[in-house]
Amino acid sequence: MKRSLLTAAILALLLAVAVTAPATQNQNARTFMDGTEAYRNGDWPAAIAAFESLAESGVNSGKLFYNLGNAYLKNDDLGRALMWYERALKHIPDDPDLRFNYEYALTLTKEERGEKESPLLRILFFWKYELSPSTVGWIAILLNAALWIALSILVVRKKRLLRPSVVLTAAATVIFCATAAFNYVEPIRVRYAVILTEQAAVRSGFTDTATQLFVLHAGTRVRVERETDTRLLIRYTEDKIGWVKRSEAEII
Amino acid sequence: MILLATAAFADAAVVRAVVDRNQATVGESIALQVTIDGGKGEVDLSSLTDFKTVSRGTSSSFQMINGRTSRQLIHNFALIPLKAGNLNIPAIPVTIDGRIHYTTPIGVTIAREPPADSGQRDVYVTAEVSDPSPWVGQQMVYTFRLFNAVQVADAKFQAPEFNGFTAEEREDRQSHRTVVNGREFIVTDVVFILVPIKTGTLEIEPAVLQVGMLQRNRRPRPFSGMDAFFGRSQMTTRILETDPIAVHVKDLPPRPPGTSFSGLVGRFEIAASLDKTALQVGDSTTLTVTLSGTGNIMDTPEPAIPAPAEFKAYADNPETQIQPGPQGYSGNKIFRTALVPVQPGRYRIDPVGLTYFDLNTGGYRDISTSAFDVTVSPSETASADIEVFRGTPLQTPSLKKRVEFTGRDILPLKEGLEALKPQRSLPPLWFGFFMAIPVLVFLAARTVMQMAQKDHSPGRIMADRATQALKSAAPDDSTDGDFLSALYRALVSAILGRQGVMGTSLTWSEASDQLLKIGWNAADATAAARLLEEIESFNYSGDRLNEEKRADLMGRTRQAVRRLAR
Repeated sequence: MKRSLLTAAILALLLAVAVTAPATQNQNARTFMDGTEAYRNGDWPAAIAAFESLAESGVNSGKLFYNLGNAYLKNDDLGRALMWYERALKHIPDDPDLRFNYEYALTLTKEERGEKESPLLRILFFWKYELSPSTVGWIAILLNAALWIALSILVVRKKRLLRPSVVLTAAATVIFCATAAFNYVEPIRVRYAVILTEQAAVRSGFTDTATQLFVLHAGTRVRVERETDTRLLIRYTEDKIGWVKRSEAEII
Repeated sequence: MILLATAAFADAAVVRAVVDRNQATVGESIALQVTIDGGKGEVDLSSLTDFKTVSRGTSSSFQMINGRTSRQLIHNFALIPLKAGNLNIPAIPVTIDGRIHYTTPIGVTIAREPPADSGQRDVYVTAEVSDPSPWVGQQMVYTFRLFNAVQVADAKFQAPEFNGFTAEEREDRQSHRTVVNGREFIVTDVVFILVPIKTGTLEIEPAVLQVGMLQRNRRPRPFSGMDAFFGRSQMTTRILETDPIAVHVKDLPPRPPGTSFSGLVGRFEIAASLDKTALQVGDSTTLTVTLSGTGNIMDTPEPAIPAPAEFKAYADNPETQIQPGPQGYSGNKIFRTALVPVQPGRYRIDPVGLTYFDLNTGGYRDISTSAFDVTVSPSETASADIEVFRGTPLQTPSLKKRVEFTGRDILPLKEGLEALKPQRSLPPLWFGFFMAIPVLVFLAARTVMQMAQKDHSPGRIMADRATQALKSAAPDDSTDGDFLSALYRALVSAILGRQGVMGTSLTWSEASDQLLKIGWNAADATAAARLLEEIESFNYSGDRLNEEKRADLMGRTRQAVRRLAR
């Protein structure tokens, strides 16, 4: 009797999961289509609301973030547009549409980039900038598997001809493993934020009466050094650092 | 006037706040000192909402009274009142060793400043625009002026944001003297050229200037008589703000039908010249179109050159000579186009025209150059073919134009439902797991292979032979000869295998010696040797073995082989 009750409960649970999962997907698809329809009709706030509800429900997609960036840009909210573009770049850094719109949005900012990335680094470590962290991780895993398969063949067959290819595979594996490890560590150690408001006063302390050190404008990307419940300690350049309100900047 | 406030708590008298005066005007700074006797402390000024606070650093002093020494730590601040009226410096919390002490509140009276043109202020600032009701695209001049009748230092200027305008500051800041209500001032002008890019009422925020002013000491100090004698003075900080300026930007009127508006707003003239009017086929002549005037001349688009179809036109990069002046941007922009005829004949190059918005008339105006008549004769060199002229690879790049954006917009949405597909990143734990799998598989396979490798030592081979021989002796239907030969092989192989040598036969004495060598006692060694001898004798005698004897020999041999195999 007990066993049959347990079986019935498990079946009911599986049925509930099977029924609710497609229902959620359908709801998400409807919301997404509502958002794209609103965007086509020029109703940017409605498009933002639809896309943002999807993002808040846990849809973690570079393309959705790209759409949010577009909607915010059309709605003249440069700060949030660039923040969502930055988030999208973490997922789909090689998407040409995203790169075009992101570069265009950058031309609308009032400040130039504080911390500039070296073009030489972008060339030397192109895979780091062109591939998403997930892609780098899977390439590292595949290369690692290929390396150990080649080593196994080398041990069994003892063919010298295989040695150069094993060395090359080992080198590629080390490079991609190191990049993948860096990709895991970097977001923990280095965090960036984007200024959201039209202008944000960067002050020397926590209070509104603290000395205003400099002013940043919407869309400017800054490095986050420290954070409290109400403020972020941000660094714009090596010599420009100060506190901004949390409401004026959002961590990417 | 000096106001000294003692600490509120009787137990401490350790903190006190002092201001250098309790009457000031808006923008003047008041010096505030918070003194902590006998220790360090954190001063929290977050409750001073009516003032902008600027830290002036700390200083410390030692005092010795009646042989007892005490230390004072003084925090200096400049307070700049943000409004007029009776303001209050509230009790300032000072945290000393985890305990909070409070100073006594101080009241100060802040008066409004006298009017700027009264001449009563020592320092003041103004701001104005050349035209408060401009057209969109019309350049205008924003002038910030600092009037100072006393010496100022450490001026820090913060320009307005100019939202809704493009703004560029003229590099030359000029100073001159002027008299206001009988008082002489030095006037410093900071000029920006603004171009409104939006219509409607736009507000230019106040410009802010922070200056230091030299003033005589107001606080009595020890030896203040000496200060008066030496004329000592101290620097006070003032924050000066201009009033915000409202600018009403008018939209341009509708364009007359059929006109193509260039986007220029201002006052402009256009002229053109052609360096040669008599040409041969393949020769080039340069048409130079010069647009000059005042306004947003830098935005002039490249004019359409109405060259006849028998001419090829190659535009050069435009040359600009634009300077910001008292009335805004002025200068000229020159467009040069190389024209190359490909057919002989008489041609007319029509006027080059342009439509701009004229500020004098408040309407659109068409301007154009004069026309040119050109005579083209056949080329004197028979082989001179226009195709040859068209292009060596070295000439081509200079004639090619860089593609410029003609409009800016973003690319469209990603409308496919794959945008909802979550892109989950690989968690670090799974990454490490997937990385470890091939290594573990490799190590496991290698271990298995090593274990599976056969032992080819003589001892192993002989032991295997002994086992095999015992197995072949086991069936009941084997002949006595086969049975006895198998037992003999098993026993000999087991003894030799234990020694690690190969071989096929042993005498009973050799067998006994071998067994003694490997540690068997004499009785067991002799018994095993006798068994070997017994098997051999049955084999060579040809006597038939009954079942009982077969079982006996088999059992003893198996026992000996097993013992040797251990």
